[in-house]
Amino acid sequence: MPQLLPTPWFTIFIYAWMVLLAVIPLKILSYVYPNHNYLRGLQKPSEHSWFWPWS
Amino acid sequence: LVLSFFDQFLSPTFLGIPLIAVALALPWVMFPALPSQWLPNRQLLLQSWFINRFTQQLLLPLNTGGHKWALLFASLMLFLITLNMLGLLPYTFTPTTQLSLNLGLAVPLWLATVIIGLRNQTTVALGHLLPEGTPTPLIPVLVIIETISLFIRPLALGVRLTANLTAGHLLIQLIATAAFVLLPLMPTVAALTAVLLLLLTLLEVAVAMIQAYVFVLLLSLYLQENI
Repeated sequence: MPQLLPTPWFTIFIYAWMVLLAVIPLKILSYVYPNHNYLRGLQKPSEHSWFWPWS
Repeated sequence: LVLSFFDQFLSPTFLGIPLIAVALALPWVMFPALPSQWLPNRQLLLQSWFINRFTQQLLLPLNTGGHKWALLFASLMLFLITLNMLGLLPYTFTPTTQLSLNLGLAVPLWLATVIIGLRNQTTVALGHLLPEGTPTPLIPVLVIIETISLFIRPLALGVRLTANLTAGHLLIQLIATAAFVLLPLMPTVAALTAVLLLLLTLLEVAVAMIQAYVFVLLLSLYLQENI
């Protein structure tokens, strides 16, 4: 099985960790989420209560 | 030179360049940095939604100390799911079929969780080696069994991902070869094999996503035990 050949093991290990530590976190941290939720607090609740036809 | 079906997993080189380096370096251009806009485009919106919701879901069972691992888990998930899915395209190489990569990710991360557990809460971490309510005569046997199961975890983590992806790719290659060889001989059977190949490819898409998720989920569970 070629996966068991030990020659490129250390290289692959180092490459993978370099990508995982140096490249991807910077990309993930760039996804910022501007806070839209303050707009929800500005909406007032409806002033009409629910209408039940039998009451 | 007799080619076997396993040769697709040989770390390929082209003009002296190990292609695994290209396979590890290029997929991240699909995740561009967000521009400083209020509303990004559709692709960026979907990607950021995925990362946000995934991280939120994964961190639900973890206490506040575990939230320090959010960036690492999100990076790991993105890494694995991208590499797995891109490997299903024709003529691509999947780095996650390499045992070196998967063990190289699993062992240090598992070891980190174990060391954190032993360093910060030694008694609790050692207490995981004996389930509650064990009858007294069974205690020595059970401690041995739980220790073995603890040390098997990184091996299982790495080998699970490797084996699932390797098996999937091998099956795809086998069935595709079968369909191709059968085409001049028995076209109907070849058509049925092609349908099987389509279903298998759909399964492999699911497996690619699920295996990446399982890897990160299990690591978060190991962290939850120890933090």
